[in-house]
Amino acid sequence: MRGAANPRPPTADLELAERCGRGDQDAFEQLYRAHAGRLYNLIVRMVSSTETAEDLLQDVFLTAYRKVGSFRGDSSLGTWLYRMAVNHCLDYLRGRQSKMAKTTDSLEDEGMAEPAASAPLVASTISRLDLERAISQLPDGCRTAFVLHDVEGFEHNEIARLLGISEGTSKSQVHKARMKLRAMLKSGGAAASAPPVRVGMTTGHV
Amino acid sequence: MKVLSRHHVAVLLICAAGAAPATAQVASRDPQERAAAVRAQANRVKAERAVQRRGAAEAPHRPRAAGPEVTEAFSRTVPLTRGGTFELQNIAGDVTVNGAGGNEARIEAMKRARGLTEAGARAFLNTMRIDVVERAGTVEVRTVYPRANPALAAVDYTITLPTGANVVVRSASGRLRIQNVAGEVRAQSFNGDVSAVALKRIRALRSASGNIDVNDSEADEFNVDTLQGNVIIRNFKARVLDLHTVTGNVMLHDVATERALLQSMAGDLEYAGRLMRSGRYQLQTHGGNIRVIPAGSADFDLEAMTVNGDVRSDFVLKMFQRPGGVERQRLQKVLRGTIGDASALLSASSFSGDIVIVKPQ
Amino acid sequence: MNCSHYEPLLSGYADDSIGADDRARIAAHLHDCAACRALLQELSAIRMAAQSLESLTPPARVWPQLSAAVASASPRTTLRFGWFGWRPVAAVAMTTILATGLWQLAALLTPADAPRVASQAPAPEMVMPVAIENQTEDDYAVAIARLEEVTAADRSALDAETAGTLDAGLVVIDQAISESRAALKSEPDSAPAQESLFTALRRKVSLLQEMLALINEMRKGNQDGAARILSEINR
Repeated sequence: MRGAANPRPPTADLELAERCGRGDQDAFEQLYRAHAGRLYNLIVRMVSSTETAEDLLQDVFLTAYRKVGSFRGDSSLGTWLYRMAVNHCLDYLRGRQSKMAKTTDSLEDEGMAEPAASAPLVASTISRLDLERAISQLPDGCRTAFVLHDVEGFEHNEIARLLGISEGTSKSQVHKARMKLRAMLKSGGAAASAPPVRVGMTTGHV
Repeated sequence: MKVLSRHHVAVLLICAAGAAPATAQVASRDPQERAAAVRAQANRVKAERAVQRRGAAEAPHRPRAAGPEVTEAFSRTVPLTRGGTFELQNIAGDVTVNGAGGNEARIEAMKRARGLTEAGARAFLNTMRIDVVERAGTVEVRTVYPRANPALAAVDYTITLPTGANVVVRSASGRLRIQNVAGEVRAQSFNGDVSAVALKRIRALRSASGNIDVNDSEADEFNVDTLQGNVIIRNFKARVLDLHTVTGNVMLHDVATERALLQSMAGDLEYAGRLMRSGRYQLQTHGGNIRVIPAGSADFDLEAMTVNGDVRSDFVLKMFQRPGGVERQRLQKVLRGTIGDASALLSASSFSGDIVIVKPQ
Repeated sequence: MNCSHYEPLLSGYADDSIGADDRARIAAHLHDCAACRALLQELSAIRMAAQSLESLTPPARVWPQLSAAVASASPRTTLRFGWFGWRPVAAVAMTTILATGLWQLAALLTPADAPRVASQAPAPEMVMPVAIENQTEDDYAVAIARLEEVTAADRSALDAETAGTLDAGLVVIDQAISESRAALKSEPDSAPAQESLFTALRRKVSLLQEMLALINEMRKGNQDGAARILSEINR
């Protein structure tokens, strides 16, 4: 289980944040090297696009650079960045959603139908591509909770803090996501109308 | 020098093996063969450069042409305060600068000229001037004569000055040697070796075809730049090291830097020294090999990438709590991972060279 | 059997994130309900599959762009020791490079304590800005073409050995440029190939600048009116 961001003694985080705040390029690079990978993982799956994820990753770090002065060490730098990344993604998704006709309600109804009988899902036979595609089709809310919990390994209390929701909501969102994923995977993977998914297969990037 | 003899061997090997056709690198479609051909080409270029370099390094900067040589000594002593700056602009000839006690700069020089006849040589000698200008806190020495081949005219200098002085030496041709100076030192010779011993604040050393040698010295921010010359740095400490070469090989042994950028086109890079906490080390070559030997406790975050070369590490690296291994990503190899608390950043990138991270013996 | 009552809690059961009371009730239900047992297995399977999804890495171009973006807020230039005096040249790693126009080159060739390039006032359309790291390949190509044009015109001012040394360097750099370009054709995202290409381009620009500065220094020597002794072929 991947767990939370790299544990760092709080003073090291404060020191790094201070150096970034003073315009120290090296400190900023250190910050990037330490957290960009994990943030990228999160962002890609939250927005289901490597190109958007790249832009958002830069936005997150630029925002971090501008706001690092306000980091007080209440949480670790990793968590602070995560919160920022999640918010950037949610903003993006909200912005995107308002342009799209779909609402979460209709998806909710769809997802609850019991899939046609098929072979039981086993972890070893779930194809990564299918899973990535299915994740990308989850409604934004439960996808966020699912990615944070099942993919990134955060605990519900941490997710609750990150998203500003209750632990109970976090648990139910994760469960909802899993149920929908189950339905999608059992009915033969992605729906025909799904947008082309580029996540997961683009590991050519270094 | 150890490095030169390696090249000597390389030259022999390549001659013995017979040269591969120059078009080999484009012909093959097999990636392995292509990589090997690229490497062979790079080695050939290196070997050719090595032969030229040996020639350049061995050439003494004495007028060698046929005909008699005439000489004339020059001597001048000028006051120079501790924090003062001594600047020498020479054309051809060997320069030695020694830091010693006192508060004056002693300039000893030998003008040399060679001509077809002694009269001709002396006539030219008479056109050779050594100008010494004293300004507030600065002594400037400049060699002046009409453009001439180093074989025909040269001025050798031996300078003794206060240890605390700053030193700037520029020369088109000739060996430079500077030792025991605690002030800021900058030295460049286009066609000559530059050697630094026991300096406390080296700022910059440059040579185009000469080798650069640094021993037992320190620096805050240190720039090194060569075209063909090798760079050998031993027992050295600096906050920032910025080192560039085109075909020279670079060997850093027993060094400690907080930030280092080593960059070469065809030369090899070797860095043996401590990787400091929060240090940042970046080694980049096109055709050269990269070898890093981290001394002391190893705590670094490694990212090593190569297109045609190989990459390996003696250290067992971790990545996201899983063991890090070499990944083939399409046409390149990447090795990433951390060891210890990963506080230092080590980045190694080579287009066709190999990258090796070695545990010190 | 009221499975729909238990179903929402199954994930919590699988994750062991529910209270002891709920645990007991669900355990009891599972004992009797094959359907819920099967569902539980599948929910666990999805979680396990999610845990082993690939770790994606951000593209290499992200950092240089980020670095450039923040560098423009706090520029860092280091004076490098040019052959004839100090010039502001590319500093460590990811900072500025001088891509100069012809007007600015003239300023580079004056003695060491000349005003810095930026204070010259060249015709704006002839000046290429002091560029940050993500200068495009084309920008470098333009700078290189200009420099090559100027240096080719006056190469004769250099002696054979000096010219030879500089040319030898250019040969190696050009080889690096062409090899990197070739690799980038088939693998445009290759970070080592990108690094090699841009390092080589920057190096070529600075080497041509050095060459030009040397040429002009040589020319100044001639203009002093001293007789020029032709160099011997001495090797």
